[in-house]
Amino acid sequence: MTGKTGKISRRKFLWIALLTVIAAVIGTVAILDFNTVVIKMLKHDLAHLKVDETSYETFVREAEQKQHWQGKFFDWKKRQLVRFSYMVDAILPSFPYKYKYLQYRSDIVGDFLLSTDFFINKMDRDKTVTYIGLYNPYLRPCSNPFSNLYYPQKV
Amino acid sequence: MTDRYDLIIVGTGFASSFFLKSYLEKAGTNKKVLVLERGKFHPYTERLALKRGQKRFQIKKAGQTYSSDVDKIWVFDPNFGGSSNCWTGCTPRFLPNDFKIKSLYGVGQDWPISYDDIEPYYNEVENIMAISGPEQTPFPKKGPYPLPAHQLSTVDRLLQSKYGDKYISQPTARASRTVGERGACCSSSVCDLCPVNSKFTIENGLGYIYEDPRVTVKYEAQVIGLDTQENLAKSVHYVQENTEKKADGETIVLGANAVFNAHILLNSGDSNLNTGTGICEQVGVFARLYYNDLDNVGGSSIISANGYMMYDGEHRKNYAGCIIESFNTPFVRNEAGKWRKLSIFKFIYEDLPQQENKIVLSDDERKPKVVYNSHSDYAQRGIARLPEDINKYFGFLPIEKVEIDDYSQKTEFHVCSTTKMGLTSDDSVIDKNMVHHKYRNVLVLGSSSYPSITPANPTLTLSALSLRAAEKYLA
Repeated sequence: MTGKTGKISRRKFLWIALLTVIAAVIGTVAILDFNTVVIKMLKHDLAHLKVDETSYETFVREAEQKQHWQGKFFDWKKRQLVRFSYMVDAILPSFPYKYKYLQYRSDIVGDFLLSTDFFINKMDRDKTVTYIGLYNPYLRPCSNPFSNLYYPQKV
Repeated sequence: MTDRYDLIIVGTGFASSFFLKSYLEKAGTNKKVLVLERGKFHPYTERLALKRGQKRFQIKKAGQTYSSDVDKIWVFDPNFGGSSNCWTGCTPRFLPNDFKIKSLYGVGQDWPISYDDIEPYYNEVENIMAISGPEQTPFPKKGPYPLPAHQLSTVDRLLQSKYGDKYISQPTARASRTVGERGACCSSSVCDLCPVNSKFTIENGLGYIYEDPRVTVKYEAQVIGLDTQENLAKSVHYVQENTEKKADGETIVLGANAVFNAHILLNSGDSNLNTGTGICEQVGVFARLYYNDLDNVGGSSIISANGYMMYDGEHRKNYAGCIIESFNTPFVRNEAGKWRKLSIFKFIYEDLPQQENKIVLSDDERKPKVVYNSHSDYAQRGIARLPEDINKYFGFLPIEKVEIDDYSQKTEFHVCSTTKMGLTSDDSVIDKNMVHHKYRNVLVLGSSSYPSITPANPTLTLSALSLRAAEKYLA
């Protein structure tokens, strides 16, 4: 605030706004761990499907137990990028590497759907999507839902 | 007292195993062969149990075997079977023009052999590996592949309709049908260890040669260097169980990768100025094409097709050639109803070996050091054109949006060009038959021999070179 008029200067206002945003982001990042972010993203992105509510939690829990994210699919750096970008995405329309964040977000959604019966039910939006087990090609080989096994070439 | 052998082979990967196969077929029954493998034998069943979470053990990785002062990584598997344990099984041949890139395009270095010289050995390796591939190819080929081609996806078919034999089902060692103990590839898309053992590996394809009574295999035996005298190598020094040992050999074959072949020669006092220089590999960039109304489905195997539209031609005078891979992993587009209106392509550019990128000795005689600055401007000029080239070659598809990574991959899993083959020691380390220019009883195999690396995957070619080298050496 300035002494004479009781108004804050434009520069000061911008600084306060910027610091508030930074504090909000840091606070939110501290609160929202990666698993919480994943659940929020899945609920948002799959709102158009009828997903069994327990599926999200089960997926995240099993992924944590089996160190799914720590494997080659999502290393620590990627997980942090997803966390930060998720917060920033709510505030800014565009930011560096947003396209990469959206690709990773697609990967997470895809991984979740592969762990459910969604593709087994031929992507039927009317059927409830239920978790069937963390997608692991070594335990469930030949289950790439877009391959020739599911779309054989018509002769 | 040292052991004496007719042949000492370093390594059990593709280069060594194809050489050994041919050697055992042609050499006498009284021959004595020593194979020195720096790693362990982790059988397929154990690796599978590890992936399934049924067993716990550590497998030594490539990064633990050399030092580097840059962010670049070089990937290989330092265990029995070498990179056959981690490769994806992509087996395109080189094109005839790849062997004369200097003469035709004024860049890089010509090979001392031609496509015709290697062609019969390509056939032989393709039969041994039971390659699945198409009838029409952009390279000359006598006769069909042993197994039928994998199925193209809906997008691949459109591209093939437009580009003919410049867009083909990828030739691959991922079997399209059950063959022997190998299952048929079913697109599980985790090829480093195939869940159905479809991919050719040294263990499932050539494991039997290591059971030959003439062959002794010593595991966890890292070769350090050779004793040389005038123009011959006399013996091999190796470390096993922390003890330095020595074996004498009539013929010595280095079949390690391009990091260690060069390192062994440098440790042996090889004074050829080319030894160790030129380490390089292809440079890969991913791009995603989002479609308005086109589903990308029905492809088989992890990579369903190869595109050659940007590979060969006059442009190679100015910038790198590129091979395209069409990915068929179970990726999704995160938009309702558009789950698969998306393609992921990898654009893989050739690089030119550069003198300043090299293998050097370090303070530890067991650990080579990789000095690497960056890939060449030649490769970078090719990459810089990618937006334009995608528009040119893919623009006829109903594309909604294109996303091109603004960085290249950290590795293409191919280490090349540190002991190049050529006509003289002025520009190379080994001759056209892979014999060292100076040490005439030492053969140096593998992709370390490549004078130029081409955009194509190196494994088929290096395996064919090994068969050829064995035949020429024993002739």
